[in-house]
Amino acid sequence: MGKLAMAWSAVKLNLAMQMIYRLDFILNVFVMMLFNFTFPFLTLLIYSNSPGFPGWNASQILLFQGFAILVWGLEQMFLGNVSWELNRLIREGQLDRLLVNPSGPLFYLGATQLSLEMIPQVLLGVGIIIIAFFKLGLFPSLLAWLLLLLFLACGLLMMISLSIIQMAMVIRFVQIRRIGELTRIASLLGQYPANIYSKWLQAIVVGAVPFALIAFFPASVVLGKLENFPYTAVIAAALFGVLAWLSWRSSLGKYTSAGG
Amino acid sequence: MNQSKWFLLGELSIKRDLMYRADFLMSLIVTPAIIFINYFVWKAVFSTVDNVAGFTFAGMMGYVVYSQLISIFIFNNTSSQLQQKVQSGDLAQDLLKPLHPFYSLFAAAASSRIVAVGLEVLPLFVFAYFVFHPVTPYGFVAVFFVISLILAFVLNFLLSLIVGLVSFWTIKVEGFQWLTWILFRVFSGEFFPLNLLPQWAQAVSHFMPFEYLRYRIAIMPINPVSSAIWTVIGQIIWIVILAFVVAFLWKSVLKRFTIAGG
Repeated sequence: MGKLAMAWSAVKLNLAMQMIYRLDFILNVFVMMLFNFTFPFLTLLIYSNSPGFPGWNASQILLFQGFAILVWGLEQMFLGNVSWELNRLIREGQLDRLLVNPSGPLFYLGATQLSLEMIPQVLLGVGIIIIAFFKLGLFPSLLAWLLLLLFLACGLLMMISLSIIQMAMVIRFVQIRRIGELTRIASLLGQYPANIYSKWLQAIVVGAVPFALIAFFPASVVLGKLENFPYTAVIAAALFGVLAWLSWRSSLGKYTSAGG
Repeated sequence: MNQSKWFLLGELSIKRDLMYRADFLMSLIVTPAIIFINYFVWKAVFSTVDNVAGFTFAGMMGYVVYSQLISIFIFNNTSSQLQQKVQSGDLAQDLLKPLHPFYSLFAAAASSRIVAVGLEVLPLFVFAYFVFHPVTPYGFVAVFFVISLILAFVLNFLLSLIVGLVSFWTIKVEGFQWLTWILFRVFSGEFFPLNLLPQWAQAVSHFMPFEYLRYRIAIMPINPVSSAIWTVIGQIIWIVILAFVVAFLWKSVLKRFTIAGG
């Protein structure tokens, strides 16, 4: 059985399992959408109570948040449940079982723990982007579309890499259940225009840890506000990918069973 | 209930919590990160206006700081614990014990917050005090502020019990827990002050207990003492109402109790 066929079987099995508790599944979908709508909702509240962010209108900020919700949704769909499952396996001493899996533990966990309730969140992100496109009357050029895809792919790579690094840390140190929260909170920086931050924080967000790839650069390119190609951010995202791969391999190499 | 049993349960819970010191210490990074993001967002918004929904920039930052610290203070995972007990069937054993299951859950929640005050709330308040200079409550308002915090903890515990008791009907309750998690947070003002909401939504929130969990306490330092008194009165009324709801649900649960797991 090829890896893709195995992954497809795992997805079907996963869907069947989630459908056992249909009401819970539907509630999870609804809650995820509600939670992610909190930020666009806050934006609308800010603009209904004040002039908002200087130099940006409400639709432009919603475009930022649409891209952010899309990238978070994709990352959570692939790895959202993996982190929880990994924590459980380590605590119960069952990770050893996965280490002998021929497809590799990360691929196996990714395929079996695909978070289907995140699909509507991805659609919510796409919906907000489409509404913002219409409200702003945007018709990006072919180059802008290509750059948009590149930035979104790099943003997704960075978020997935950070999740893998976080999981690698969990394997090594076990009792750090809340490390993922930090990544999630830090990534919130990406959903607002980078120019609202102080100079040093801007340097981090657009360069060293480029959360700006999640929304700021994608929105800037379709709004025609991208001044220079963000080489540093794209290279940093690729480096995060390499770092994630190395730290995952290194953590698995040093893993010793904790439970049993 | 014997006082020593309370202390024993609390001590056990504190020992268990201290095993996850890193989790508590993570708050020392996560909470300032949330406050800093809010700082930049509101700083940009206030760069062109002096007042947003009745808040100055300093008032808004005070609100953000207090709402975050209150969140830590009132936290509990009672609904999850109750759900686990139902799913595993452990509740059957708990019912045979001379101690009511709610007492042990309350002791665990309260003692966990004692650790949280030491490891999270106080260090974070000192940090926020020097960095963001929030208005601190003083005099009678300070007294009502502390009373109100404790009542908010009790109120949140009762709300969690209600969510947890629903697991007797649904068995799997995560979706419902997440739904209440988000509703509690939005309508208690964790993400933004309720003054930002349209008038009709503010009117609706006045008829719900959630604003007594965070919003009304977080604005106490910048409001007159009469507002603090009404907050405490409102909290007591809601605690009485929710205690009746819990008692009613518990009675219904015991009537139809069948062990789900175990």
